[in-house]
Amino acid sequence: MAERDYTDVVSLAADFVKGEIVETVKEDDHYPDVPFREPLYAKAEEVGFLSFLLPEEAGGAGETTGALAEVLYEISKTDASVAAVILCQAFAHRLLAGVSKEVLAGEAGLIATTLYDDPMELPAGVNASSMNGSYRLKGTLDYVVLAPVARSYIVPALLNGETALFLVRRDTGLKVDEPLLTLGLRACPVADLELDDAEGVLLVIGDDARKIYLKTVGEMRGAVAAICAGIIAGCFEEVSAYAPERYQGYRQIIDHLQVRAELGRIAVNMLVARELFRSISCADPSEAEDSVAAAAQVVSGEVAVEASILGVQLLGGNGYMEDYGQEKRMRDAKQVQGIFGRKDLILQDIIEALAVR
Amino acid sequence: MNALEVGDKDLFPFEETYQSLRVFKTIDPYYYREMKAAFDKVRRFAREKAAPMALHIDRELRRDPENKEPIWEFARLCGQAGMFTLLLPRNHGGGGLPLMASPIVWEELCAVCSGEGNVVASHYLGYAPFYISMKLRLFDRICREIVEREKSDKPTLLAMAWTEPLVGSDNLQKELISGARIGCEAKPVDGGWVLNGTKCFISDGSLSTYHVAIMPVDRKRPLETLTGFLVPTEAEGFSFGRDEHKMGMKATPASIMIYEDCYLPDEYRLTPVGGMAKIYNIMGAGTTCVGAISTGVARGAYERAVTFAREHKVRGKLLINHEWAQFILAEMLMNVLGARAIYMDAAFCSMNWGFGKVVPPRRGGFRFKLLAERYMATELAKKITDREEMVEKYANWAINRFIDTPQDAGYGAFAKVKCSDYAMTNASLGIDLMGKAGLRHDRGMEKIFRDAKLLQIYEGTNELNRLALFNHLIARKEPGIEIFGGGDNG
Repeated sequence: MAERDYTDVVSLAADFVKGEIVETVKEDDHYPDVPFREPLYAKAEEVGFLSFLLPEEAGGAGETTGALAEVLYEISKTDASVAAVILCQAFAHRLLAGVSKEVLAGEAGLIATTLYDDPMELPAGVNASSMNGSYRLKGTLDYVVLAPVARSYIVPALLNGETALFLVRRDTGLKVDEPLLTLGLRACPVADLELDDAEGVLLVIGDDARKIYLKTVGEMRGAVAAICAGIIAGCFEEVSAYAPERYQGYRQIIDHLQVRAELGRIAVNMLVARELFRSISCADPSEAEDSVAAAAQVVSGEVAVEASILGVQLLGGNGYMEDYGQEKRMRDAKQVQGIFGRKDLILQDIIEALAVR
Repeated sequence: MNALEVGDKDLFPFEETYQSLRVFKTIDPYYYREMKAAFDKVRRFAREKAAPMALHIDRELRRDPENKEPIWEFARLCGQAGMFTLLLPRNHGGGGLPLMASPIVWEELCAVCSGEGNVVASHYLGYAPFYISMKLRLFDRICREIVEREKSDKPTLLAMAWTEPLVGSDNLQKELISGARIGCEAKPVDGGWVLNGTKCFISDGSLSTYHVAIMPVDRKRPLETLTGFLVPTEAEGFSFGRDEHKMGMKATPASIMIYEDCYLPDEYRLTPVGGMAKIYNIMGAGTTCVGAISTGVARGAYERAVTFAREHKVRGKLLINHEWAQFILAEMLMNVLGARAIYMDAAFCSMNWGFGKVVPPRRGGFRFKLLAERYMATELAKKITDREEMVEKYANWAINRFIDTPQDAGYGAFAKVKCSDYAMTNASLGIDLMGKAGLRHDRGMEKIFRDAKLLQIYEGTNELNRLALFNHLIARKEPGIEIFGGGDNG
């Protein structure tokens, strides 16, 4: 298969960053104490980023996960929060696409999903019951991404002892708690949900629900790794610009060999993460080995956290201040590492797949 | 349950926390009881008063970094509990806590919240250079004001202003200060001094009533002319810039201090010109305290992680029953124990070779406050106080004669670097263990992650402290080695 040239989507993402994100990234990081920047996402919708993986027949861009990863990489160099919103929307679309093309076509606006502490198990907390041909959901759900700004919600719930996925619309007995303040990715809104006899549309139940969910998690690993790689690239860019300017210990800090070694470590992490996300997000989904993708996600998360902590360190006191971008990258990297599956559980799952007989 | 509440079974009592101090139980039971009493008092304060406010302060300061009211609310509680006078000498009205107890206080406070802990610690950071200046009359007056106002609506706090925007860690090593791009300078004028320049990242700056400003009289010869001044914040020509917008430790303001022809009468000069260079002899005390603060942070992460693991299930069973989680918790506890062993060793080093060598084990040398007060009323005390210059000369002689700077600074650097690295590691492991819950502000762990990072940066970056350790503990035995990249010849 000929290698796809992503110049067009990368250039589109770069223009989007320049026109819509660069100037507002610091202010948007104050969410939930500032409003969600709706015009930014109207523009994202306009250029197709909020329907990037939607099939063309459903009104989307019909793009591949490889192209999505390139877009997220480019955006994450400046603001991983925006990339996380696009990723979560793509995750929801992919999940719906695996269930029902009809439902998918009917869902406009942002769709909230629970992200996964445990990638092998759908979150518990909600029970569903059938009443006169419709379904009612009761319970609570923690940490639902995009919940404060979504129009509809994909909610996992127990129905007759089996896990099922439901689609719940905002105005049907669903209460969104106050937006959560999180460590990082702050401009990607999150909230807990309370469902009190909320009306839901059954999407899928039983083994099929779990399979579709796991398949979608697997397909998105490259995109998660791309965000990690983008954070490191942004970090490297800022430190590289700072080090020749800052004078300390009788010389510019770039002329201290230890600083070069630490900058070299960030560069190594950047190159590794970039190669990893490209190799897994471009793989043919039917042949992709989830253990490899999971391994790439784990490594990308680790190198992003390491690099971004080092990025703060190299800027010293300035790196710790919100005036520079490094402290945000450090928070964002740890957030990305944590919300797409607990690292220690992913390690258990990898070894389950590779070595446990 | 408050997110920062920890069950009794996860809090080690004094006897189990400080194994090395138990030897005092037989050698000097009074000394032991004094430290244990301090520990108990601070633990109670930290758990009952500081913990319930920690997340609230952090959240409010995130909304508005200029809003000091939540911090003052906390400072008033500190004042009510006597936190700002604990370490002041008894003969100046203070609590007279032994020097060795100070790191214990920092660990205990910072296990709950290092931002809150640093409100108290930074006050004593201002106190330390003031203390060694031996300006006894001024020192006594300010100490008594601190004591008198401690329980008021606005307690009198101290701070130390040394760092500058273009200087960073360069002023913290005497080998580097000559190459630092210093902007501040003090010039003598009739009857006093005029200060100019800008200081930054000053912990407790905007809370303080007085701060010790350290600056040269001649920027071209900073080491030779480094001088200390006590600056009342109401001094003409002094003003605050904004407080920095930090990632964490939000409860401790980091202020910009601006001196524009700031005039001070000569009585506010704390040292002769060049006299503040003696601060380099006691740097180990500061870095050791950062080691203790870091240990508290590492412990706070552990305590919250183990509490969470007891209460939450993963894949059908409690997290604490998963073997991999037990390894993480064991690692976190080992980091705490390792960090504590290191800072306690550095604190003993400080007692043997550093600050403790010139400070009596009990501040002012008095076991009982009443004796201290009686002493201060004697003619002898008045004579000593009146002969400041002689006392200062003696103190300088003692500092040069008794302090082994390489030992003290080397072990202090060791404590600062390793303990802060452990704190950062534990914060990260804590989040890994808690998953998404660890990333929410309302669960307290993400705050530790943000707070911990500052420990690797302030009081000299860990890079600088590694070089300081190399300088003091390795290079001193190998003449001819180039240190700090060869200095200005490198």
